[in-house]
Amino acid sequence: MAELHIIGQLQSASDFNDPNSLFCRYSFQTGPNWTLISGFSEGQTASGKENFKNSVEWVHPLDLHYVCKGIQGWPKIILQVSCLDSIGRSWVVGYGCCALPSTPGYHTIKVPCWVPAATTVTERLKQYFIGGGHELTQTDIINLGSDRFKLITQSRGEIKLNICIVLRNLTQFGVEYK
Amino acid sequence: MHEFKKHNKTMGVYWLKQYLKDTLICIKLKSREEIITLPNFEEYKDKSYEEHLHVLDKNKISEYTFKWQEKVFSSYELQKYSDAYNCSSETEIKYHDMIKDTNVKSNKVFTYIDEDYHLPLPIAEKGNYKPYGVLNLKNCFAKLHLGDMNDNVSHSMGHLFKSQDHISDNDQWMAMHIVLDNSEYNEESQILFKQEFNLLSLYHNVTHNYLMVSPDVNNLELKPYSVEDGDNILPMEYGVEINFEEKENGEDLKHLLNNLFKKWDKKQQQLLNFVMPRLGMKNVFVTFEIVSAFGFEMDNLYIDFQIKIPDDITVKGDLKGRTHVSKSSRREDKKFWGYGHVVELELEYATGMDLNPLKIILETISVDWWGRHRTEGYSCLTLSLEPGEHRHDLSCSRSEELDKVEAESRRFFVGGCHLIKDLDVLINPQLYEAKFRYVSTGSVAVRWRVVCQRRRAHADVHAHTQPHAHAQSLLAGAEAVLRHYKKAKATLAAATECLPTQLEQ
Repeated sequence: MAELHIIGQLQSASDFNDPNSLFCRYSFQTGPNWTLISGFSEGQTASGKENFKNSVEWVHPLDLHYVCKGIQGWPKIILQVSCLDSIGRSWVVGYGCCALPSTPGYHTIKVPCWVPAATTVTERLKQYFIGGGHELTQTDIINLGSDRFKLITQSRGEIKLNICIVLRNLTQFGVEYK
Repeated sequence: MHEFKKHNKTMGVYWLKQYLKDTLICIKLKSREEIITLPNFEEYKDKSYEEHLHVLDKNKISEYTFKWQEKVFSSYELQKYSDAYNCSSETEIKYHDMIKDTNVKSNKVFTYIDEDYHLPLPIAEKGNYKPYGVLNLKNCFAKLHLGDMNDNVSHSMGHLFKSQDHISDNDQWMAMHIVLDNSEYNEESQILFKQEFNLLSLYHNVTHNYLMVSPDVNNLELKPYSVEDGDNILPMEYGVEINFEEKENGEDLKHLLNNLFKKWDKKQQQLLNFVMPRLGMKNVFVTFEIVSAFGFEMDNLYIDFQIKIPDDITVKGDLKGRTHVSKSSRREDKKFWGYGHVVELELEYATGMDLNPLKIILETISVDWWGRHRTEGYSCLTLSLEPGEHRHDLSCSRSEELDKVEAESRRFFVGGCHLIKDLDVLINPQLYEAKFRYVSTGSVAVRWRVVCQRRRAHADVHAHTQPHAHAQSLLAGAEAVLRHYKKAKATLAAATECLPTQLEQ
């Protein structure tokens, strides 16, 4: 059985320019050929405010172990950055998606984030003074390309991932990844 | 001249492969065959026909089977231990309870177990030997003055002497004796004359786990032992059989091999279940990602992409699509548009074929306040299908009229881009007559990951898995497991041996 280890950390978010604290929910998504043996495919980081470099450091550990019986559906990570204001309200300030590297070794990945934009002046004023924002009702859009062109989004910051990929037994099945 | 006693009894030593509790000891007893005397009429005239048959049954072989340390009582013992007043020691009280609780019957062939201390153990026997007896090995070795030649004794000899010393000093023994009861009893089962013949003595060396059998296992027909004790000889013969329960060992091995086969089968199924390309075909999995765009003039950008593939490739996945519309954010004083749009492609083509690279045409388009779409830049990427990680910043350029005023006016008032009607001009610009010029605009960052898979030769796959070596290691492991299992089972049996008795108490 071929195996994949994902070891690393959800390092930081930068350039979100949000005065509130930021935290990130993450989820690993795979195809039907993949089975998670150990680790958690979903999780949430701690919340933190941006430092003087406009960066929130989470350093949230990731450790997952997958077995697979086919290459189709290589794991992807889906990220959802939310803010937490001073009175305990939270809303989404960024969505992001990234396919995980297929070569073994250490990788630094920067995932650009976006959020559905306010399309009217009223909404914009409301978001500026009251807070809140639009959220996706169907989160499949984050990782699927279809129907995404209908969205008007606002670009937000980037999330930095430091990940080590360890592959095992894939070459037995004729897989070339390097 | 001293008359040597003639007998054919020899001692046997058995190294035990499993726990002795499973061992069955069988004694076969029969009358000694003598010269058949012709029957007298007077002896049989008053006997019935059935009694005649009973006389013939004298030659019938009686079998008595015992387990290791199984207590079987003689009539004398049964009578003695039935009365609680005769039982003073712990063992006697235990026997009394056994007789009281269970319906125990006396047997002609009975046993003395280790707790009975019937005969001395081999260690004690050594002490009874005469100091200069031939069998006293310790004395013989002492006579050799081996202690004086410490340095001269070879390694192998030293080991021999060491082992002899070890046996005589620290070994633990368990004994069991199987005895024939030839005592005479009256009608009330009270003993008149006690006579017992020791048929078999078993000594188990617990330390080294071997069994001394005296006399050794024999064949009743070919080499029968006579029932004798000192001067008394009974007209009977007996044979000894010991069944070491090899059957269970075989069953264990069979069970273990079945498990191994299941595991092996499962492993093979796992190997076979992996999704492989079709025979003679190669699969390429491409994860193409439009990461971001930067440096463009207008806002509200989206990127339209088209993937051009050669005809001899089969593709699963979207070959056309567009990202979401993105409003810029500023980063390092530059406009930045984030997308993170992932496109997954699965290509299949025949192995051995020279594959032409894929071409991806990216068109960056902006949407203005009135909803008009304007091309901000074109870019063409030759997608390398080499396995691994790839990243590229694609510089984009847009076409505009040769007349700059006309170009700016059209761009501001009309929008769109009618100059390139066929995007193939971006792939093969030399084939088209260009009536426009290109203006560089911004850049699009893309990254893609390629994983290839092809069906390898059968032998090659197995060279990696090494099933033969794996099988050998599995079998070697199985033997080790079996050994440990036996050892653990024996330990468990020894530990729980006295548990029922304790529970009863």
